[in-house]
Amino acid sequence: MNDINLVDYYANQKLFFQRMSAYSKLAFFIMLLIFIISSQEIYPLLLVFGFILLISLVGRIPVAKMTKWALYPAFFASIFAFSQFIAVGSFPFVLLFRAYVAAFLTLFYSFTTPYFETFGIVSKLSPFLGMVLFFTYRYFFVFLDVLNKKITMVKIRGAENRKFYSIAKVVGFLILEMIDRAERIHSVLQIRGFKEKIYFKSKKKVNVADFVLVFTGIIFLIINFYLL
Amino acid sequence: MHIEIPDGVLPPWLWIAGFVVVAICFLISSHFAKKKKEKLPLAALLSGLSLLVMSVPLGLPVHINLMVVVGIIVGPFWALVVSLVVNSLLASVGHGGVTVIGLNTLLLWSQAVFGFLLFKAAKNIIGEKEWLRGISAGVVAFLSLGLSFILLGGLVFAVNLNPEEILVNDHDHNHHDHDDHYHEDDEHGDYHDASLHHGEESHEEHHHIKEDDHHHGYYLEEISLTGFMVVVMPLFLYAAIVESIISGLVISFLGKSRPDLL
Repeated sequence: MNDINLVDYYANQKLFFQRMSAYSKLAFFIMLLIFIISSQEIYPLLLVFGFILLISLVGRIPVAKMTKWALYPAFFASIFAFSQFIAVGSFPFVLLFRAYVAAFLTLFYSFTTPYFETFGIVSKLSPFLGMVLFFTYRYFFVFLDVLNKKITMVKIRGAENRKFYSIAKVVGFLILEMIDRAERIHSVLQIRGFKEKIYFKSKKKVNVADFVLVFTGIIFLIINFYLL
Repeated sequence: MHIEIPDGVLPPWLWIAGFVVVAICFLISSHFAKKKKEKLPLAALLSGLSLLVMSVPLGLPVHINLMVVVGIIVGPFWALVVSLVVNSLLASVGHGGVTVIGLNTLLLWSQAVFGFLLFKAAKNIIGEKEWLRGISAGVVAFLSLGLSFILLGGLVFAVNLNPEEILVNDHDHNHHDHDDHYHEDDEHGDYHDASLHHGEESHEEHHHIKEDDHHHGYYLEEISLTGFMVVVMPLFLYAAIVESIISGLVISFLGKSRPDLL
């Protein structure tokens, strides 16, 4: 199953953090990201990593997956750092850990906030961008379904020997099939009076836990700017 | 090819500049894209396709992104929207940092724009020869990726330009002029100003902070372009060749089935 598919599955669970408002989680995410990217030492990064790890465990978020997935950007950071190690001779470990913690935080936000809630916030800033995001989100899952069927079809027909040709043909078929489908959906939406704008209203209400989360983010910022 | 650099690696001025440029380009592009609203589902499904192929590694830590195909099909204005959407969704699963969404969007968009322009030029040269369409699309994809890679190199080089340092140096330069002026006054035995010493101290302090920063590896403000290229170039060549072949075959296939799309 694809990463985005899994993230979407976990984000739509009815757990503690998933029930909170997307606004408070976004504010918390931004404040902690500022803390992480401006940290110069390993200790503040350990502090924030420990904190996210703790609340993830308490909130029953799949920590093992987060830990594993956060290694992916750290791996790319290490390629980048390695290129500098060859030239400069020093290896920036703080930088690698910072990349890891930032990815861990991003995954915390993604695992607790359904995509459509984030798109709802984006559509308040740019209705056009929000609309494209909503459409992409919808098509992605349809795409995934069609792709799985096509891959099975290609495997059964034993086309794996001509790898590039098979990939190109699957992609080409996918584009053709999805274009037909997209044109049909667009026509249906037009008939139903779609005005190129998608409205989203979250049912989640802001409660005490949201304020506590935002307040925690503020504390991290205060620590960052005044105590470190 | 896009930057797989996570958050906290690039200096803030660079990624903030990336966001500002993307915001301006997005405002302009969305104005033109809204005039072709019928392309909305197409752009959304191409975003989905791009997301899918970018999630599949090709053995080595590289993947294709098909942005040249996207550029050829939807044109440069919608391509910016596609690349912004794709990068934002990828960042949400830790694939590339949130802070580098702007820069990554510009890099992916550049591939689509180069692809669109070069394919248009190639079409004028080869005309309606079907058998050449796929080959030209492959060559166009390779050239577009190459141009985008040069932009990436420029970006890495830009990390070495520290605007803060330039400003401080400029300030120091002015300060030295100011100091010289005071020295001249001293020679005349008129007065001795305390701010002269303060200026020297702050200058020394500045260098001290810079040394500390370098010691901790906090900023990558002296990135070696050569080192970066030595490591990344083989990966780029591998990804570019694979992507060019697949893009050529996809365009060839679409040219036979739906030539109106190209």
